[in-house]
Amino acid sequence: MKAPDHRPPRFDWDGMRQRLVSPFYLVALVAIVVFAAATAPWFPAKSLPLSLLSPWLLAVYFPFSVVFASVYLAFLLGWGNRLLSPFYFAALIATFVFVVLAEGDPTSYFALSLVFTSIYITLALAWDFSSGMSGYLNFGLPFFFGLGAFVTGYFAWGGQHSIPFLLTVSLGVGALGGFLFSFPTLRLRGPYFSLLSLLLPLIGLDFVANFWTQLGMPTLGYYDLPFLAPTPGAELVILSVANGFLLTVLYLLRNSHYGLILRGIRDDEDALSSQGIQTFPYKVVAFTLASGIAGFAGAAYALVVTFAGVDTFEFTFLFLPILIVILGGAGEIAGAVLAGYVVILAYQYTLQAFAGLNLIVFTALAILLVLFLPRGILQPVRQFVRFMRTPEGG
Amino acid sequence: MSLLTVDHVTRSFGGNRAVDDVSFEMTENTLAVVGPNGAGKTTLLNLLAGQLHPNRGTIRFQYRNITHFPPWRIARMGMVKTYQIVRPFRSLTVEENLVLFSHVRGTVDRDEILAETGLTEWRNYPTGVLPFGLLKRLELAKGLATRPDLLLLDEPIGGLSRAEAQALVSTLSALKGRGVRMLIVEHRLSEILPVVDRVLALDRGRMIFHGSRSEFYHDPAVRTAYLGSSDVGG
Repeated sequence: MKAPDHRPPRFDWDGMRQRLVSPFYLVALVAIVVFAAATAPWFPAKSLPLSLLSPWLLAVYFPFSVVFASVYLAFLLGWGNRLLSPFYFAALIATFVFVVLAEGDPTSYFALSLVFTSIYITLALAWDFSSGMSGYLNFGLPFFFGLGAFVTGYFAWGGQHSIPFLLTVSLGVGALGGFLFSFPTLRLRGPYFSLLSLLLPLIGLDFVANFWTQLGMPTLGYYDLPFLAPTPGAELVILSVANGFLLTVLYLLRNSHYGLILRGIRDDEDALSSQGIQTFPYKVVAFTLASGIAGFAGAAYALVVTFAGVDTFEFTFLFLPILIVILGGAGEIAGAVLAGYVVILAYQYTLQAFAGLNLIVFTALAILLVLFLPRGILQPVRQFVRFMRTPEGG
Repeated sequence: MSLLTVDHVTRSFGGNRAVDDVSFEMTENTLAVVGPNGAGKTTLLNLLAGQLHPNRGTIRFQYRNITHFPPWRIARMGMVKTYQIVRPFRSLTVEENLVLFSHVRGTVDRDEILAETGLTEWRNYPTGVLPFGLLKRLELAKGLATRPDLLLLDEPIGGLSRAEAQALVSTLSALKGRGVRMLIVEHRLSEILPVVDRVLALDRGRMIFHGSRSEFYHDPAVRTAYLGSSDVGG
């Protein structure tokens, strides 16, 4: 049987890399990164001549330049073809369009809504990378989210008020917790692993509710934590940078050999194993990374609400990210970002418009969306692109 | 030199002995494992590939005892199984299905494998859209992508039309010609036997024959297993 030949022409990657390594581009890149560091929300910008620039420009410039630099670096390392997807760029653009919109009024409710949306998107990215790609449903995400929040609280009360430190240490502890959990449990398959992971948030809830105070800790959590940034707009900048960076890294991983194996595990783990691939280490790395990201998201949440409480173990932090991943398409990564804005903004609007009934209305909307778009919102777009590429369609 | 040694291997499921005290050595390049339905062919293949473990007996591959090795470890040693019911990675393209295994036992020439199996033109297609005949070829290509020392093929032409089966048998002949060693489980005997050097026949879990192709056709036990009586047939 002969295949219809409608493959796109091959891109000249070597030529592209050679152009990117030219001194002009490299100097420009260094300038962009240095300027970006100087405009970062944590940096004392007032002491710099940068204060002459408008705050809006500074706020928007930081995320743009950081993500631009990471994309540039990916191309420079020869991984550019892994990012060359309309969905990746759509997700990246969406992230920064919302930053630009929010910076018009950085203290508005809209900006604050987007801050929470960004946290849910971070969680959704973590869930999509581990469970969406490998097919192993991990219901323990809220545990690592709560762990991150509590680690932040612990260190903040210990006198550590450096935001980068708190975020980093929460990421590290989340990853360590994820490794310790996944190493013994990922030897179990499918539903058995899922059932065990489901117990984790319940353990977290029970521990904080019943034993926390007996250990001499503040009742139900840590309060009066430092703010992530002075305004919701500045918080959004930080979280958007994190999401843009995460999106880029996870998208690169998705399209790497490692990502292929994760997707292979979802399709048929036994077939992979029978052909020489020990799947266990790949799964452990994915879940460790996802748990670290969840810990980071938990820390960010605690610093936004300035409270690390028992509510961080609740299943809202599981239900909404899973819904986002389903709508975005499991394993799509970019879909999690695009669907995140749809789901969380819709959630918050139903919260306002249907007070008391919002959960019912939102669940009904979610069921309708899942019924009519079972493979996510990108599926019709993907089908359209495929149709246009075939000789009969285009 | 013995590539594979199976020594008194038995595997039971409840009271049913699917493989019963089977022993043989594989010294030749190609061996066909044949038998009627329920003879234990696929169970034997699963035991060799490590997907099942025997209740008794030992399996040695390249003189190493692999009886209780996991499948991935056996495959890394060079004995790789393909499936009777095709198991492509449906969310990946044809080429990505091969890329997956590119690090298992060193790099392979994917272009060559795709050309050998007739999949070159389909390399960028998602496997979900491929017809069954091409998926059977992909199953073979995935096995080759691991640079196997011994390829275990479970009914490679099962379910194919006569023309498709002939084309795949030609591919297997070409692979044999370039030194790829294969153990083939198949029940379409007339089509597969020309490719193999020796035949091993099973019936209700027991080995009833192990010898050359010409001896196979005249063996009374084989005739009884296939035709019901050693007096029947010509």
